[in-house]
Amino acid sequence: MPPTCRWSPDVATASLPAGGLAALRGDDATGGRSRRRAGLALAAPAAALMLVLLFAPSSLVLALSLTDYQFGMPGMAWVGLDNYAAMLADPNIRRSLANTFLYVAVVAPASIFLALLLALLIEAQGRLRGLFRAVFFLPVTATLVAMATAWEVLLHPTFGLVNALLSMLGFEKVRFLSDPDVALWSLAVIGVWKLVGYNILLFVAGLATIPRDLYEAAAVDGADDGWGRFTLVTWPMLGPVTLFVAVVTLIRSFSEFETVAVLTLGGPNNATAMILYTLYEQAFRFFDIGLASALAVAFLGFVAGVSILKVWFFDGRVHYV
Amino acid sequence: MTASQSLDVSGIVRAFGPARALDDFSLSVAPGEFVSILGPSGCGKSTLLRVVAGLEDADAGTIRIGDRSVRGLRPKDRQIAFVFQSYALYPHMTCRQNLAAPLVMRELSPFGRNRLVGRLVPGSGAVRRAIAERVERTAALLGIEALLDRRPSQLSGGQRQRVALGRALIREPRLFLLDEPLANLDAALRNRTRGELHDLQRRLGTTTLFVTHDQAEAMAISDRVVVMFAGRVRQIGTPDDLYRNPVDLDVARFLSQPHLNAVGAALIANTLPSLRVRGTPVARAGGVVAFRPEHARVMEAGRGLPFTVRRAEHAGSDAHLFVALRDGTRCVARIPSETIADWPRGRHGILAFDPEAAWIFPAPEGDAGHAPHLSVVA
Ligand SMILES: Nc1ncnc2c1ncn2[C@@H]1O[C@H](COP(=O)(O)OP(=O)(O)O)[C@@H](O)[C@H]1O
Ligand SMILES: [Mg+2]
Repeated sequence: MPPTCRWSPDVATASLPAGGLAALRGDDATGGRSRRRAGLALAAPAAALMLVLLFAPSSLVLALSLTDYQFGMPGMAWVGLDNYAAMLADPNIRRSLANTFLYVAVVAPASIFLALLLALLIEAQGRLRGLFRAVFFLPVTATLVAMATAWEVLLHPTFGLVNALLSMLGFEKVRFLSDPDVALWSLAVIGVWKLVGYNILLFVAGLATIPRDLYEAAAVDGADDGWGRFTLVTWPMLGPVTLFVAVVTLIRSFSEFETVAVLTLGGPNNATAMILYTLYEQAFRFFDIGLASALAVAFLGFVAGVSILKVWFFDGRVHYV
Repeated sequence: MTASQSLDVSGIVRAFGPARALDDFSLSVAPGEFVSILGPSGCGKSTLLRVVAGLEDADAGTIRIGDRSVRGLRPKDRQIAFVFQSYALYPHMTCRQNLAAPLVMRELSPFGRNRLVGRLVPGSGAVRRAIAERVERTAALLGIEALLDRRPSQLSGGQRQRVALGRALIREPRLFLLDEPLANLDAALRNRTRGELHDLQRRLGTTTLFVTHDQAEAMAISDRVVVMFAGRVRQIGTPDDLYRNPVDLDVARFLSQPHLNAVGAALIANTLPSLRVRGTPVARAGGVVAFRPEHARVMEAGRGLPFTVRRAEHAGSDAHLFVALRDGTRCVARIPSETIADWPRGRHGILAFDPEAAWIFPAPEGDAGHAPHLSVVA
C-alpha cells in the first residue's frame, strides 16, 4: 500500500447547517413555554393513571408492611420492621424464598438458551418455519390453568403418560409432583416449557431484523461458517433482544404462581412453595396482611431491581447508539 | 501490495424465478481498470457484483479473476473486497474493530480471536500487533485516525462510507467491488468523495467494479462504463464514446439526463425534407431523431420545427425551455437564462438542432415515432 495518499479530513466533518437543529427543537423562549405546556397536558393522563394504579397501591402495600394489620381485625398498630424480621425468621418463608431463587436460577437461563437455540434452528431451515413457530407459541396462547391440568394428567404417578413410558423402558415410576426431591424440578420443566415459546418468538423477531448485508460482509471478511457468523453478527446483533428476553424471563419466572396453585399447592411439605404462592397463603388463608405486604415489598424490590439493573447497566452496552 | 488482476465474466445468467436478473452478461476488465456498471434501478447491477463476489450463485457462465476460475471458491477466498451500499459496518464494534475484522477473521483462530482465551494461544500476540499496525496505516490513508474509537452510529454518512472503504482495502484485495458506495451521501459530499475515490483507486491500482445508477458519477470517474438494462449489456465504452455514440435510444436517454429530445423522423422530413443527420437523409430514415437540449436552438423565425412554448425552468446560467411541436411531441431546448423572459407560455417559435450532434434510432417498441411522448428520463 503506498504510504502517502490522504483524503482531505474535512470531508469527514461535513455537518448540518448550524441553527437548523435549534429551530427544530423549538428552543426559542416563547415556543419553549407553549411546547412545555402542551407536553404537560399530553403527559398528564398517563401520569395520573400511573399514580392511581401503580404508585398509590405500592405505597399502601409499603405502609401496610410496617403494621400488624390482620384481615377482619378491628385495629392495627405500627410494628416497624417486625414483619420483615418475621419473614426472614420463618423457616417456611425462607424455604419459599430459597425455592424461588433456585427455580429462577434454573428456569430463566434454561428457557433463554433453549429458546435461542430453537430460534436459530427454526430460522435456519426453510419450509416448516411457520409450523414450528405455531407449535412453540402454543403454550403462550393457551390458558395456563388448563395446560397445568394437562400436565397433571401427563405426570400422574399411576396412570400418567410419562410414567407409563418410564415403566415401559424399565425405569421405576416417579412421583413427579409429590416427591419432595423431584416436585420443584418438575415445576421447573413446566416453567421452561411455558416460557420458551414466547422467548422463541422474540428471538425469531430479533433474528429477522438483522440486515442480510451484515452476514454478507461477514462472509467476505472470512466469517462464513456457523460459529463465525454467530459470534461476529448474530449474537451481538441480538444483544437488545436478549437483554429484553432476560429481563422478562427473570420477572416471569420469579412470579410463578399458577403451576404451584394448580399442581402442588406449595407441597409436598413446602417443597414447591414460591414467593407469590406464599404471599397468597399469608394474605388469603392466614389473613396476615402485614406479613403478606412485606413479602409483596420484597417481590417488588426484586422486580424493580432487575429493571433498574437493565436500564443503568446494560442499555448503553447492547444498543450501540 | 498484491498485483491487481483482470476480471473476466462471461455468459452469466442469474434467474430469480422466471425473471432473469442477469441474462447472458459478459464483461472483461483489464488489470487496474476502473469500470462502472451503469443502469436503472433493478437492472441487475447488485446481482452482478454479488455473483462476482460469490455471495450469489450464477445459474450459468464463468468468472475468472486473474487467470483462474473462481468457480466453487467462497467469497473470502476470492481475494475481493465488497463495499455495500448500506456500508454494512458491524454496529457493535468500534471503527478500529471494524477495520480489523477481515484480518482478525482470517489470521486468528477462533480461540485467538477471543479477548480472554486469546492470550493463551501462542503467536496471537504478534499477529494482533501486526493487525493493529495495518489498521493504523489504513486509517491514515483515509484520514479517519480520529474516528477509530467511535462506533458506526456515532459517525456521519461520509465518515461511515470511509470506514467501509477502509475495511475493504485493508486486506489489499485484487478486486474492489463497490455497490453504489456514494448513493447515501448528500450531493456536495458525493461529488467530492467520488473524486477522492478515483484518486485512491489510481494510487492503489486495484481493479475496480463500481456500480451506480447515476450517469454523471459513472462518466466522471470511470475508464470505461458498462450500460446495462434488464440484466443485459447494452453498450460498453469510454465515457466519451457513450456520450457521443450511444447505440440506441435507451442508452442515449440514460446518458442525456435530465432530458433527451426524440422526434419522429417523419415529422422532421415534412418540414425539412432535405435535412441529413450525420449524412443520412431524414426523408428516407424511419424511427426517431434524437438530440440533446444543448444541441437545440430556438428562434423567432427561420428554418426548423415550429413549436409552442409550454414552460421554462431556470437552471442557473442556463434554462430549459419546454415546448410542444405541431403534432404534440414535446421537446426541450437549452437557452441562456437571461432570455427566459422572451419565451412566455403560448409563444410560437422555431426549433432548430445540430444534425451532426443528432442520431437516428429505430422507434421504440409500441411507438411509431409520431405519438406525442415525453422524452424525459425518470
Ligand atoms: N434475492 C432475490 N430474490 C428475488 N429477486 C431478486 C433477488 N435479488 C434481486 N432480485 C431481482 O433481480 C433484479 C435485479 O436486482 P438488483 O441486482 O438488486 O438490481 P440493481 O442493483 O440494479 O438495482 C430485480 O428485479 C430484483 O427484484
Ligand atoms: Mg442495487
